[in-house]
Amino acid sequence: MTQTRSGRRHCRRDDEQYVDFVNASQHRLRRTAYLLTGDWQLAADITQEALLRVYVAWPRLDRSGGLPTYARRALVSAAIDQGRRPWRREEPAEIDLELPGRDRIEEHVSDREMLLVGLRQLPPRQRACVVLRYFDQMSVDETADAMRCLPGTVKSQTSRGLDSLCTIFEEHGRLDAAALVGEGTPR
Amino acid sequence: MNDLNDLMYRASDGGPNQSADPTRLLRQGRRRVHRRRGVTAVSGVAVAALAIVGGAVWLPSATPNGSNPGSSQGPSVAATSDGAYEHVEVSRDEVGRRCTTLLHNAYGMDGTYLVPPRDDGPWFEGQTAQVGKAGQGSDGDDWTMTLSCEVPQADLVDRAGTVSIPLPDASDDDGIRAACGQYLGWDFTGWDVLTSASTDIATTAALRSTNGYVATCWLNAAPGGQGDSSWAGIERETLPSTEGLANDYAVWFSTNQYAGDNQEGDYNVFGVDQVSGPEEAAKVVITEPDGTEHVSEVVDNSWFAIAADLHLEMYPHGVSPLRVKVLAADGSVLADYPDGEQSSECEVYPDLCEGSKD
Repeated sequence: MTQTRSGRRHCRRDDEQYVDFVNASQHRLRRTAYLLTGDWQLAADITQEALLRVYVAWPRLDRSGGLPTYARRALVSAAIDQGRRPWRREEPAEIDLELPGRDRIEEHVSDREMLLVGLRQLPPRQRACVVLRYFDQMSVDETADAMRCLPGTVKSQTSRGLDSLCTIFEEHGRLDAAALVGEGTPR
Repeated sequence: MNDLNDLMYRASDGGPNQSADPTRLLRQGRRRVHRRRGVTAVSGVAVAALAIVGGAVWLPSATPNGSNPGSSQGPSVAATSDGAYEHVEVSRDEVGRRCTTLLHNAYGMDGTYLVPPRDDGPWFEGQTAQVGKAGQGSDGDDWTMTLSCEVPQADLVDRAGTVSIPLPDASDDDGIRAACGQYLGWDFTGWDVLTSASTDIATTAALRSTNGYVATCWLNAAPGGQGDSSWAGIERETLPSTEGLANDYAVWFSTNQYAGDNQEGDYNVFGVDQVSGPEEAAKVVITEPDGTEHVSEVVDNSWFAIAADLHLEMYPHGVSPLRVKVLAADGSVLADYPDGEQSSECEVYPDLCEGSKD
């Protein structure tokens, strides 16, 4: 047993709570990871790694509200770690456009590809800011906490990311690119 | 028209059915925690709970002499006594066998790990393979729980993934070769230690073979902390590209031993990597909030190693106030920015960097 600087002793690990958390959160985390990586297999690996990190940190996590933020912090960290590994840098995974059979609609694929290509072209931290803010609907402060950076950095990185996405969408012929990235402004 | 949230929602809908089994995660998590808390003390310091994480891997900048990789199912001859590295191809089954041993040793994993059927190889000693277990998926072939493994040499696999305490000091080149070699399952005899750094609980180094291959090695003996902050990566023996960096300098390192809420607490910072930027770098300086500086020399305008104990106080925004500086040989500052950002952040938003000094 270790002790934090604030003097609070780590409470006993509650495995049942952890299992409940995994069941409740893993699907959403995997979707976030997919947007960060564009690869379902890599997303599954990263989600697994993030959930293991959550387990290691479990005794000192704030169950009343800090879990989702910490899980996303672990997810972003794991995704960036993966991206730093040279075999990922040198041979990035092809974007995985696998869809359920019922969804194989041309426009759907086109939008998905456009988005994933766009996200792929963003630097990792910009990509993470955009995904956390727009997909996970996290606030600026929550995103800053998850990414361990200043709120102002989240704002600037998100702004740059959206600008880049807008340009990429326009290059894909989307005349509504500005509206696309401008609507759905998160809280 | 759909907005960005809706676009992301639809884009991430579906995908393969790859739900992780929570009970398996629980078992893995327990092993990871136990592994972190189950070893011994360091250098006479009363540390009750320790564990080892780390790794070492390398990659050639080119195939030596343009030769084709050899093939081996048995004992390896990849590392020669003259410190050269040679490709030695390893079969699918042999990768599984060696990685199973390494994962047992390093993380306390059980069972047999195999290369997933989707991977076609080839696989080489010293390079990364992905291994996993056939699971309980609907088609009986669920390989979602894959792990990375650097394939050890055949004759050194038994101790791969283990580290002996105490870790070698940064000045102990022989000790570094031995410790990194033990963890990786590799004979580093004849390799040059390019750069290294150490604290009581971490040692990092970059080693170069006589024929131009580089191994990076991060060894950490840390109390239970914030997951696997340690990282081992494959590095090329070439300067990292500055393309796309503009006026930025990319500096990578990791923090471990997270010990408090809201980022306040004690950290062990460690890593070995390459710094890249438009001008030649000579030093990387990590500065604590109280002004304490940790200086790492940059070797060959590229490699640097860092290992330092830090303490971070509570900060108004709850973020790490570490700063990173990159210095030229004449001492001029090439970059100065907060941890987690690249230097252009300070150029574009100077008030942001000023604020982080508070």
